[in-house]
Amino acid sequence: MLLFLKDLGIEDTQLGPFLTKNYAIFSEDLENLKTRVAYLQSKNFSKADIAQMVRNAPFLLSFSVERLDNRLGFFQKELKLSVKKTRDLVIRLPRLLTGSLEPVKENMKVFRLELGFQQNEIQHMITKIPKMLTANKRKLTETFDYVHNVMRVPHHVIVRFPQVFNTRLFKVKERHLFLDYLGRAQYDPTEPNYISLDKLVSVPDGIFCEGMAKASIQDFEKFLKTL
Amino acid sequence: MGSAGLARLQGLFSVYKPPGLKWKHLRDTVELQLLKGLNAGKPPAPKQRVRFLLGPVEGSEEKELTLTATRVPTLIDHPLVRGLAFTSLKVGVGHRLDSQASGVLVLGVGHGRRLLTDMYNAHLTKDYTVRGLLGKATDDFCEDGRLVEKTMYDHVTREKLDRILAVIQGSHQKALVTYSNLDLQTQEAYEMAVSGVIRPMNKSPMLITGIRCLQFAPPEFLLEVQCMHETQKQLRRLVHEIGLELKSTAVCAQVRRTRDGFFTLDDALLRTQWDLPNIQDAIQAAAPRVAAELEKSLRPWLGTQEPPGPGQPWDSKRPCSALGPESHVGH
Repeated sequence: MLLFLKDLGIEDTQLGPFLTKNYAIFSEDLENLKTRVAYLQSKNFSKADIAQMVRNAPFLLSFSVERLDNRLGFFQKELKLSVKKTRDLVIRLPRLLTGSLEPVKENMKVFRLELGFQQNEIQHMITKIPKMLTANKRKLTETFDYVHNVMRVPHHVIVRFPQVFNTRLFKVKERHLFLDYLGRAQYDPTEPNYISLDKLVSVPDGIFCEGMAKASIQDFEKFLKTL
Repeated sequence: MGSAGLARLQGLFSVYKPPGLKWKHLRDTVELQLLKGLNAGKPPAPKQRVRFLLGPVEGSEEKELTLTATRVPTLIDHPLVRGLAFTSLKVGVGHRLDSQASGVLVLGVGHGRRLLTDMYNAHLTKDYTVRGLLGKATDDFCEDGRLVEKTMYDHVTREKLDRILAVIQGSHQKALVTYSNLDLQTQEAYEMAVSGVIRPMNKSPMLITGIRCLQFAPPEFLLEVQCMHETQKQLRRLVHEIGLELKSTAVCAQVRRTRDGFFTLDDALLRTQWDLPNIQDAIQAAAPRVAAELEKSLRPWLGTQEPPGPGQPWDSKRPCSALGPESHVGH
């Protein structure tokens, strides 16, 4: 059994964490596991991809073939993505196949009805940040509410930079308030002095202060202490 | 390495609590960060022991395995066997701040938690900046509560506000003296009252030792309040009552603690600085001041009052002065 896992591509050091999470794999039939791996390979998942997926989601191999098939079909139908894109999505976030489908359905409804995104916009965002499908509903709505209403960023700009949904809300709030205080809060790409949303959330503090706010880190800290 | 780090991690330090974060979450976050830092240190070299192992002996003719004595590291202290070295840290919180308020929050680690009770018993004053908004009244006195009424505020001027603040300060001044349980007939009590050192040294309702208006730009106004034994909700109620006194209404937009005893905004650590080395430095930096202030507050008050330490320049209020058991002797 362990040799089988090693054949799949899991290293010795990674075997420990894997078995901690899914020790029940020892009770599975070796034949079943081989069929499942063969099925995944038939769907054009390369060996390295399968190894990475199994590493990130240890329960993947404990699912029967038809269950995996159902799940893949569900994602393809719901998101209306091409086969290749679904494959990429699942490789990046194999948790989608092992977790339950209810939160994903809820999040899809939230995106469509509450946040008002179109289907192609949702597709674009999910291919960039698959984590949004399993994110907390409340946090998504809070972040979107702040970004859209307080920062007044229109929908199409948010679609271009979905990373804002992946960062903590307080970070976005602090940086936006600082830029507002300095008068540099310009998120419209057509205006001069424009600040892109992804740089707003992903750069570390030093680069943010020097490059975008044109102020020192001490000023940023002093401002934070006045909030 | 871990125990040396732990030895430097006993004492008080202050943290800037951002608005919207519950104090409990903050305390848990700080504890997790400290544990991460402590567990990341290099573990001590594993002890060796002598075991007799079967192995081929070099340089001999026979090819069979013989027992040889070899030093082998013991795995008993390995983190993968025993688990992490540090699993919990005791972090205590000083005067709490509710989730909407922000500002200086004092935390104590390890033996420093004892100093927290000492700080509580020293009954030092705290400084707040309170931002109010005229024209609205809500049920929980906050800006985002349920709206109860809206009023006009054009008639409100700076002089009216200052007058009301002076009245409030005067009434609380009287309350200070009554709650401090001092017999005003004695000479020492008179001297203390003259220099403005009187404070209640036991439980009392919220008392304001000083209040003044920093900015007035209707509908917004900014107050600086020095008080003791308060909760942030009572401060918001104070803003509401000031609005009522001004024949209008007011809600509180922001409550920020700028000073807690002797910890000011400069010593407070921001969210990015909540890790082991920064906290250790903060504890080391604050330790001498903490020791000095607590020793002063526990020392019996002498007849001649020496000039107090770095006090506020206005209203002759001395937030960190010595006040020993004299007040208890008074009654």
